[in-house]
Amino acid sequence: MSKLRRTMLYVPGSRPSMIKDIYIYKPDAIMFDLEDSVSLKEKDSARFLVSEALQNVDYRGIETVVRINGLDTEFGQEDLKMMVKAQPDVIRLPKTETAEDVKEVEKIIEDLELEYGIEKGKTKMMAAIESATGVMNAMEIAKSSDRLIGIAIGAEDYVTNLKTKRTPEGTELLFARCQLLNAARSAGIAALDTVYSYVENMEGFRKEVEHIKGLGFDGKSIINPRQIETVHEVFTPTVEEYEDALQVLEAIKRAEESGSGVISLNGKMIDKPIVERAKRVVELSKIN
Amino acid sequence: MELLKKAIAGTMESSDIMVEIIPWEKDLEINLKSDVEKQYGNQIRSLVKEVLEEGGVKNACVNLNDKGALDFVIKARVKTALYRASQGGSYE
Repeated sequence: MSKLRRTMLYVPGSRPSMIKDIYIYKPDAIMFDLEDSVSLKEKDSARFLVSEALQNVDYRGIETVVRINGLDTEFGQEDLKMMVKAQPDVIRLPKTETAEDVKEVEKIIEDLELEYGIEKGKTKMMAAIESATGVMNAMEIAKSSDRLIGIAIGAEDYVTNLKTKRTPEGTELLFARCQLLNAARSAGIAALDTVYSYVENMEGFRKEVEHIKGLGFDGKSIINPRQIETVHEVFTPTVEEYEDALQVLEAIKRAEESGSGVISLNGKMIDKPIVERAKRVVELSKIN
Repeated sequence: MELLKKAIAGTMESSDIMVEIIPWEKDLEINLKSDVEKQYGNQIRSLVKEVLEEGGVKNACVNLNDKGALDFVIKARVKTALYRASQGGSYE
Protein backbone atom coordinates (compact mmCIF):
# COMPACT_ATOMS: atom_id res chain seq x y z
CA MET A 1 0.00 0.00 0.00
CA SER A 2 1.24 3.50 -0.78
CA LYS A 3 2.28 5.74 2.08
CA LEU A 4 -0.49 7.32 4.14
CA ARG A 5 -0.70 11.07 3.75
CA ARG A 6 -4.01 11.85 5.42
CA THR A 7 -2.60 14.70 7.48
CA MET A 8 0.27 17.02 6.65
CA LEU A 9 0.74 19.30 9.67
CA TYR A 10 2.22 22.74 9.06
CA VAL A 11 4.72 24.07 11.58
CA PRO A 12 6.29 27.51 11.17
CA GLY A 13 10.03 27.05 10.66
CA SER A 14 10.76 29.93 13.00
CA ARG A 15 9.19 28.50 16.19
CA PRO A 16 11.45 26.26 18.33
CA SER A 17 8.68 25.49 20.82
CA MET A 18 6.55 23.96 18.07
CA ILE A 19 9.33 22.31 16.08
CA LYS A 20 10.89 20.45 19.01
CA ASP A 21 8.06 18.04 19.77
CA ILE A 22 5.50 18.31 16.97
CA TYR A 23 5.79 14.55 16.43
CA ILE A 24 3.84 13.85 19.63
CA TYR A 25 0.60 14.62 17.76
CA LYS A 26 1.32 11.82 15.25
CA PRO A 27 0.33 13.42 11.96
CA ASP A 28 1.17 11.36 8.85
CA ALA A 29 3.59 14.10 7.77
CA ILE A 30 5.15 17.19 9.32
CA MET A 31 5.56 20.19 7.02
CA PHE A 32 8.18 22.69 8.20
CA ASP A 33 7.38 26.02 6.61
CA LEU A 34 10.04 28.44 5.43
CA GLU A 35 7.58 30.39 3.29
CA ASP A 36 4.46 32.35 4.22
CA SER A 37 4.45 31.76 7.99
CA VAL A 38 8.00 33.12 8.36
CA SER A 39 8.58 36.89 8.33
CA LEU A 40 11.07 38.30 5.84
CA LYS A 41 13.59 39.15 8.55
CA GLU A 42 13.56 35.63 9.99
CA LYS A 43 14.00 33.67 6.74
CA ASP A 44 17.64 32.97 7.58
CA SER A 45 17.00 31.87 11.17
CA ALA A 46 14.14 29.56 10.14
CA ARG A 47 16.44 27.90 7.63
CA PHE A 48 19.06 27.18 10.34
CA LEU A 49 16.41 26.04 12.81
CA VAL A 50 14.72 23.59 10.43
CA SER A 51 18.08 22.32 9.23
CA GLU A 52 19.27 21.58 12.78
CA ALA A 53 15.91 20.05 13.72
CA LEU A 54 15.99 17.67 10.76
CA GLN A 55 19.52 16.59 11.61
CA ASN A 56 19.06 16.23 15.36
CA VAL A 57 15.45 15.55 16.33
CA ASP A 58 14.03 12.03 16.08
CA TYR A 59 10.69 12.52 14.37
CA ARG A 60 9.76 8.87 15.01
CA GLY A 61 9.54 7.86 11.36
CA ILE A 62 6.96 10.54 10.50
CA GLU A 63 7.47 11.85 6.96
CA THR A 64 9.21 15.24 6.98
CA VAL A 65 8.42 17.87 4.36
CA VAL A 66 9.90 21.37 3.99
CA ARG A 67 8.03 24.09 2.16
CA ILE A 68 10.70 26.32 0.63
CA ASN A 69 10.40 29.84 -0.74
CA GLY A 70 9.97 30.10 -4.48
CA LEU A 71 12.98 30.42 -6.75
CA ASP A 72 11.60 33.79 -7.84
CA THR A 73 12.43 35.12 -4.36
CA GLU A 74 15.87 35.87 -2.95
CA PHE A 75 15.45 33.00 -0.46
CA GLY A 76 14.64 30.00 -2.66
CA GLN A 77 18.15 29.03 -3.72
CA GLU A 78 19.56 29.25 -0.20
CA ASP A 79 16.60 27.24 1.16
CA LEU A 80 17.35 24.46 -1.30
CA LYS A 81 21.07 24.51 -0.53
CA MET A 82 20.50 23.97 3.19
CA MET A 83 17.48 21.71 2.97
CA VAL A 84 18.93 19.22 0.51
CA LYS A 85 21.87 18.89 2.88
CA ALA A 86 19.57 18.48 5.91
CA GLN A 87 17.60 15.81 4.02
CA PRO A 88 13.91 16.02 4.79
CA ASP A 89 11.96 13.29 2.98
CA VAL A 90 10.26 15.79 0.71
CA ILE A 91 10.77 19.37 -0.50
CA ARG A 92 7.56 21.20 -1.30
CA LEU A 93 7.58 23.86 -3.98
CA PRO A 94 5.14 26.73 -3.52
CA LYS A 95 3.15 28.41 -6.29
CA THR A 96 3.97 25.95 -9.05
CA GLU A 97 2.60 27.05 -12.41
CA THR A 98 4.36 24.95 -15.05
CA ALA A 99 6.33 21.74 -15.49
CA GLU A 100 9.42 23.93 -15.98
CA ASP A 101 9.04 25.27 -12.43
CA VAL A 102 9.40 21.69 -11.15
CA LYS A 103 12.24 20.83 -13.53
CA GLU A 104 14.19 23.93 -12.53
CA VAL A 105 14.08 22.95 -8.85
CA GLU A 106 14.77 19.32 -9.70
CA LYS A 107 17.97 20.29 -11.54
CA ILE A 108 19.23 22.27 -8.54
CA ILE A 109 18.40 19.41 -6.18
CA GLU A 110 20.22 16.97 -8.44
CA ASP A 111 23.35 19.17 -8.50
CA LEU A 112 23.23 19.55 -4.71
CA GLU A 113 22.84 15.79 -4.17
CA LEU A 114 25.95 15.27 -6.28
CA GLU A 115 27.86 17.97 -4.37
CA TYR A 116 26.88 16.55 -0.96
CA GLY A 117 27.37 12.89 -1.90
CA ILE A 118 23.68 12.08 -1.51
CA GLU A 119 22.22 9.29 -3.62
CA LYS A 120 20.69 10.73 -6.80
CA GLY A 121 16.89 10.91 -6.57
CA LYS A 122 16.74 10.48 -2.78
CA THR A 123 15.22 13.92 -2.21
CA LYS A 124 11.56 13.74 -3.16
CA MET A 125 9.42 16.69 -4.21
CA MET A 126 5.85 17.92 -3.92
CA ALA A 127 4.31 20.74 -5.91
CA ALA A 128 1.71 23.14 -4.55
CA ILE A 129 -0.61 24.58 -7.17
CA GLU A 130 -2.00 27.95 -6.19
CA SER A 131 -3.12 29.78 -9.33
CA ALA A 132 -5.43 29.42 -12.32
CA THR A 133 -2.41 28.84 -14.57
CA GLY A 134 -1.16 26.10 -12.26
CA VAL A 135 -4.56 24.43 -12.17
CA MET A 136 -4.80 24.47 -15.97
CA ASN A 137 -1.30 22.94 -16.15
CA ALA A 138 -1.93 20.39 -13.39
CA MET A 139 -1.42 17.38 -15.65
CA GLU A 140 1.97 18.45 -17.02
CA ILE A 141 3.07 19.46 -13.51
CA ALA A 142 2.03 16.08 -12.06
CA LYS A 143 4.04 14.23 -14.69
CA SER A 144 7.07 16.53 -14.73
CA SER A 145 9.43 14.61 -12.43
CA ASP A 146 9.98 11.12 -11.04
CA ARG A 147 10.76 12.80 -7.73
CA LEU A 148 7.21 14.10 -7.32
CA ILE A 149 5.28 12.20 -4.65
CA GLY A 150 2.23 14.42 -4.86
CA ILE A 151 0.55 17.66 -5.82
CA ALA A 152 -1.38 19.88 -3.47
CA ILE A 153 -3.84 22.68 -3.91
CA GLY A 154 -3.22 25.96 -2.09
CA ALA A 155 -6.66 27.54 -1.99
CA GLU A 156 -6.17 31.01 -0.57
CA ASP A 157 -3.92 32.27 -3.35
CA TYR A 158 -5.98 30.39 -5.93
CA VAL A 159 -9.34 31.95 -5.01
CA THR A 160 -7.73 35.38 -4.86
CA ASN A 161 -6.41 34.74 -8.34
CA LEU A 162 -9.94 33.76 -9.43
CA LYS A 163 -11.26 37.03 -7.96
CA THR A 164 -13.46 35.25 -5.45
CA LYS A 165 -13.21 33.95 -1.89
CA ARG A 166 -13.64 30.66 -0.09
CA THR A 167 -17.12 29.59 0.99
CA PRO A 168 -18.21 26.80 3.36
CA GLU A 169 -19.61 24.83 0.39
CA GLY A 170 -16.34 25.08 -1.54
CA THR A 171 -18.08 25.44 -4.92
CA GLU A 172 -15.36 27.85 -6.04
CA LEU A 173 -12.75 25.12 -5.48
CA LEU A 174 -14.59 22.19 -7.07
CA PHE A 175 -13.07 22.55 -10.52
CA ALA A 176 -9.52 22.95 -9.22
CA ARG A 177 -9.87 20.06 -6.79
CA CYS A 178 -11.19 17.72 -9.50
CA GLN A 179 -8.56 18.87 -11.99
CA LEU A 180 -5.73 18.26 -9.50
CA LEU A 181 -7.15 14.95 -8.42
CA ASN A 182 -7.40 13.65 -11.97
CA ALA A 183 -3.89 14.87 -12.78
CA ALA A 184 -2.51 13.17 -9.67
CA ARG A 185 -4.28 9.90 -10.36
CA SER A 186 -3.18 9.94 -13.98
CA ALA A 187 0.43 10.43 -12.84
CA GLY A 188 0.10 7.87 -10.03
CA ILE A 189 0.96 10.32 -7.25
CA ALA A 190 -0.82 11.67 -4.16
CA ALA A 191 -3.46 14.41 -4.24
CA LEU A 192 -3.50 16.65 -1.19
CA ASP A 193 -6.11 19.18 -0.25
CA THR A 194 -5.66 22.70 1.06
CA VAL A 195 -5.84 23.96 4.65
CA TYR A 196 -9.05 24.83 6.48
CA SER A 197 -8.32 28.08 8.26
CA TYR A 198 -11.17 28.31 10.79
CA VAL A 199 -9.57 26.30 13.57
CA GLU A 200 -12.52 26.80 15.94
CA ASN A 201 -15.12 25.55 13.45
CA MET A 202 -14.69 21.80 13.82
CA GLU A 203 -18.08 21.04 12.29
CA GLY A 204 -17.22 22.94 9.12
CA PHE A 205 -13.83 21.28 9.10
CA ARG A 206 -15.31 17.77 9.30
CA LYS A 207 -17.69 18.57 6.43
CA GLU A 208 -14.79 19.73 4.27
CA VAL A 209 -12.76 16.61 5.11
CA GLU A 210 -15.73 14.38 4.22
CA HIS A 211 -16.12 16.31 0.98
CA ILE A 212 -12.50 15.92 -0.12
CA LYS A 213 -12.39 12.27 0.93
CA GLY A 214 -15.51 11.73 -1.18
CA LEU A 215 -13.79 13.35 -4.15
CA GLY A 216 -10.86 10.95 -3.77
CA PHE A 217 -8.10 13.00 -2.12
CA ASP A 218 -5.39 11.21 -0.12
CA GLY A 219 -5.39 13.79 2.64
CA LYS A 220 -5.17 17.38 3.67
CA SER A 221 -2.73 20.00 4.85
CA ILE A 222 -3.64 21.08 8.36
CA ILE A 223 -2.64 24.01 10.53
CA ASN A 224 -3.47 22.80 14.02
CA PRO A 225 -2.84 19.48 15.80
CA ARG A 226 -6.47 19.37 16.97
CA GLN A 227 -7.54 18.83 13.35
CA ILE A 228 -5.60 15.54 13.10
CA GLU A 229 -8.09 13.31 14.88
CA THR A 230 -11.01 14.43 12.70
CA VAL A 231 -9.14 13.73 9.45
CA HIS A 232 -7.93 10.34 10.61
CA GLU A 233 -11.44 9.45 11.75
CA VAL A 234 -13.01 10.44 8.43
CA PHE A 235 -10.37 8.51 6.50
CA THR A 236 -10.80 5.40 8.65
CA PRO A 237 -13.30 2.89 7.22
CA THR A 238 -16.32 2.16 9.44
CA VAL A 239 -16.81 -1.31 10.93
CA GLU A 240 -19.59 -1.87 8.38
CA GLU A 241 -17.33 -0.87 5.47
CA TYR A 242 -14.61 -3.16 6.82
CA GLU A 243 -16.96 -6.12 7.16
CA ASP A 244 -18.40 -5.54 3.68
CA ALA A 245 -14.88 -5.43 2.25
CA LEU A 246 -13.96 -8.68 3.99
CA GLN A 247 -17.06 -10.31 2.50
CA VAL A 248 -16.05 -9.13 -0.98
CA LEU A 249 -12.54 -10.53 -0.59
CA GLU A 250 -13.89 -13.81 0.75
CA ALA A 251 -16.37 -14.08 -2.14
CA ILE A 252 -13.72 -13.39 -4.77
CA LYS A 253 -11.41 -15.93 -3.14
CA ARG A 254 -14.14 -18.59 -3.34
CA ALA A 255 -14.84 -17.65 -6.96
CA GLU A 256 -11.17 -17.95 -7.89
CA GLU A 257 -10.90 -21.33 -6.18
CA SER A 258 -13.92 -22.63 -8.07
CA GLY A 259 -12.68 -21.14 -11.36
CA SER A 260 -15.68 -18.84 -11.69
CA GLY A 261 -15.17 -15.42 -13.34
CA VAL A 262 -17.95 -12.99 -12.49
CA ILE A 263 -19.61 -13.41 -9.13
CA SER A 264 -22.30 -11.68 -7.17
CA LEU A 265 -22.58 -10.91 -3.48
CA ASN A 266 -25.91 -10.06 -1.87
CA GLY A 267 -27.35 -9.40 -5.31
CA LYS A 268 -24.52 -7.11 -6.43
CA MET A 269 -22.02 -7.98 -9.13
CA ILE A 270 -18.45 -8.08 -7.85
CA ASP A 271 -15.82 -7.13 -10.39
CA LYS A 272 -12.22 -5.89 -10.40
CA PRO A 273 -12.71 -2.25 -9.25
CA ILE A 274 -14.91 -3.38 -6.36
CA VAL A 275 -12.24 -5.86 -5.29
CA GLU A 276 -9.57 -3.15 -5.48
CA ARG A 277 -11.65 -0.83 -3.31
CA ALA A 278 -12.28 -3.64 -0.82
CA LYS A 279 -8.53 -4.34 -0.58
CA ARG A 280 -7.88 -0.67 0.14
CA VAL A 281 -10.57 -0.56 2.84
CA VAL A 282 -9.06 -3.61 4.56
CA GLU A 283 -5.55 -2.15 4.37
CA LEU A 284 -6.72 1.20 5.75
CA SER A 285 -8.61 -0.54 8.54
CA LYS A 286 -5.54 -2.51 9.54
CA ILE A 287 -3.41 0.65 9.70
CA ASN A 288 -5.95 2.36 11.89
CA MET B 1 34.56 33.31 9.19
CA GLU B 2 35.09 37.02 9.80
CA LEU B 3 32.70 38.85 12.09
CA LEU B 4 31.90 42.26 10.64
CA LYS B 5 29.24 43.57 12.99
CA LYS B 6 27.23 42.86 16.11
CA ALA B 7 24.34 40.46 15.50
CA ILE B 8 21.43 38.95 17.41
CA ALA B 9 19.41 35.79 16.78
CA GLY B 10 16.61 34.02 18.66
CA THR B 11 13.84 35.22 20.92
CA MET B 12 12.92 35.30 24.61
CA GLU B 13 10.12 32.80 24.06
CA SER B 14 10.04 29.51 25.92
CA SER B 15 12.27 26.79 24.39
CA ASP B 16 14.36 29.46 22.64
CA ILE B 17 17.62 31.26 23.34
CA MET B 18 18.63 34.81 22.47
CA VAL B 19 22.19 34.94 21.17
CA GLU B 20 24.13 38.19 20.79
CA ILE B 21 27.54 38.11 19.14
CA ILE B 22 29.84 41.11 19.33
CA PRO B 23 33.13 41.08 17.43
CA TRP B 24 36.10 42.27 19.49
CA GLU B 25 39.87 41.99 19.74
CA LYS B 26 39.97 40.00 22.97
CA ASP B 27 39.67 36.24 23.44
CA LEU B 28 36.30 34.50 23.37
CA GLU B 29 33.97 35.44 26.21
CA ILE B 30 30.67 33.67 26.78
CA ASN B 31 28.14 35.14 29.21
CA LEU B 32 25.12 32.99 30.02
CA LYS B 33 21.82 33.79 31.70
CA SER B 34 19.61 30.72 32.05
CA ASP B 35 16.90 29.33 34.32
CA VAL B 36 18.69 26.00 34.09
CA GLU B 37 22.19 27.41 34.60
CA LYS B 38 22.96 25.10 37.52
CA GLN B 39 22.09 21.90 35.66
CA TYR B 40 23.02 22.78 32.11
CA GLY B 41 25.19 25.93 32.22
CA ASN B 42 28.45 24.17 31.40
CA GLN B 43 26.83 22.07 28.67
CA ILE B 44 25.35 25.16 26.98
CA ARG B 45 28.66 27.05 27.15
CA SER B 46 30.59 24.14 25.72
CA LEU B 47 28.06 23.63 22.89
CA VAL B 48 28.22 27.33 21.95
CA LYS B 49 32.02 27.24 22.06
CA GLU B 50 32.03 24.20 19.80
CA VAL B 51 29.84 25.93 17.18
CA LEU B 52 32.00 29.06 17.31
CA GLU B 53 35.16 26.99 16.88
CA GLU B 54 33.66 25.15 13.91
CA GLY B 55 33.06 28.58 12.38
CA GLY B 56 36.67 29.58 13.13
CA VAL B 57 35.58 32.35 15.51
CA LYS B 58 38.17 33.10 18.20
CA ASN B 59 37.56 36.73 19.12
CA ALA B 60 34.05 37.59 20.16
CA CYS B 61 31.84 38.39 23.10
CA VAL B 62 28.78 36.14 23.16
CA ASN B 63 25.82 36.96 25.37
CA LEU B 64 23.24 34.21 25.84
CA ASN B 65 19.79 34.48 27.39
CA ASP B 66 18.42 30.97 27.54
CA LYS B 67 14.77 30.07 27.97
CA GLY B 68 15.16 26.32 28.06
CA ALA B 69 16.35 25.75 24.50
CA LEU B 70 17.28 22.26 23.36
CA ASP B 71 20.74 21.68 21.85
CA PHE B 72 19.54 21.85 18.23
CA VAL B 73 17.93 25.24 18.90
CA ILE B 74 21.09 26.58 20.55
CA LYS B 75 23.18 25.44 17.57
CA ALA B 76 20.73 26.98 15.09
CA ARG B 77 20.61 30.31 16.92
CA VAL B 78 24.40 30.58 17.24
CA LYS B 79 24.82 29.72 13.56
CA THR B 80 22.21 32.34 12.62
CA ALA B 81 23.95 34.98 14.75
CA LEU B 82 27.28 34.11 13.09
CA TYR B 83 25.68 34.22 9.64
CA ARG B 84 24.30 37.68 10.39
CA ALA B 85 27.49 38.98 12.05
CA SER B 86 29.52 37.90 9.04
CA GLN B 87 26.86 39.34 6.72
CA GLY B 88 26.00 36.12 4.99
CA GLY B 89 29.33 34.39 5.45
CA SER B 90 29.12 30.72 4.61
CA TYR B 91 28.90 28.65 7.75
CA GLU B 92 27.77 25.34 6.33
